[in-house]
Amino acid sequence: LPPRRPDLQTQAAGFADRTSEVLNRTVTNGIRVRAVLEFGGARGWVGYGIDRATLAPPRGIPLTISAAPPQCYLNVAHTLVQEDGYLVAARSTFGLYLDEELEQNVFHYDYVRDPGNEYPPAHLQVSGASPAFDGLCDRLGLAAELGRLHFPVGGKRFRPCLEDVIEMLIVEGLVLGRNGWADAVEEHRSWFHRIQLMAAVRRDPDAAREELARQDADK
Amino acid sequence: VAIMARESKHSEVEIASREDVERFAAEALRSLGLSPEELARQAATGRFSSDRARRVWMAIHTVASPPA
Repeated sequence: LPPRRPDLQTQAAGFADRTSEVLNRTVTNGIRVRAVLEFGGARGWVGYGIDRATLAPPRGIPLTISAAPPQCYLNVAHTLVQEDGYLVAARSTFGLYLDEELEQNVFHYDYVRDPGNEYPPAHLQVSGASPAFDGLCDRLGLAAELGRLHFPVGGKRFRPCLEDVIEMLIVEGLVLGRNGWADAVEEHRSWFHRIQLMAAVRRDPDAAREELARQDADK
Repeated sequence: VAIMARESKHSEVEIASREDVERFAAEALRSLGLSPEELARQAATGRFSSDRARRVWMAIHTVASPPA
């Protein structure tokens, strides 16, 4: 890592560049993700098709690696806030859609750092139905729907990243991956995990010191 | 944090004014047919009236209560 932190514009550009790169090396064809920073740098947004007038992606990213028409679309968006000179994700969403207009959602992963409700900060919602779940709700007298459930996915530090979703889409045969997609996923995922690890150490340096001391003692 | 330029030095980064951000939030809420309070209420229950409402909430949550 560089000894000095990059300025906020460079950090925002890095978010956008890394997202474009991993997508274009795996499941897309020359798309460009952009970032918007509020003057002063307190807040930022990253997404496809955004600009300073449209801070949420207005359309999905076509999932095709050639001139062939896409069968589905991906929504990728981050809302960033500044903390101690670093831009960090306050909210992220990755969703698969049947249409470019993002009207027909298949599933989405959301991360909401301060959800303000009782649901897990990192969760998965699937737009589906389950007769078994409906049967359970009948037994319990609950008016619930499978698509409304917030499935927990790893919490703040160990939540899935975009690379996990890309990998799942390819492995499950929902989209075609480029040659070398696995290397690109691994490379970018390692970066994400490293950032999360450093954040975890900042949050709990005593635990990090304790583990390092234990390793030193074992040598 | 150093004072930030009003023009971006990166082609993939745009700089928005506070007014741009507030305008986006107001227009997004208008197109949803929701007040800020109604959208916040939906977020508090985890049940949004539409997927689009959820996506708008993801983008504008900090607008109503910006960092100090």
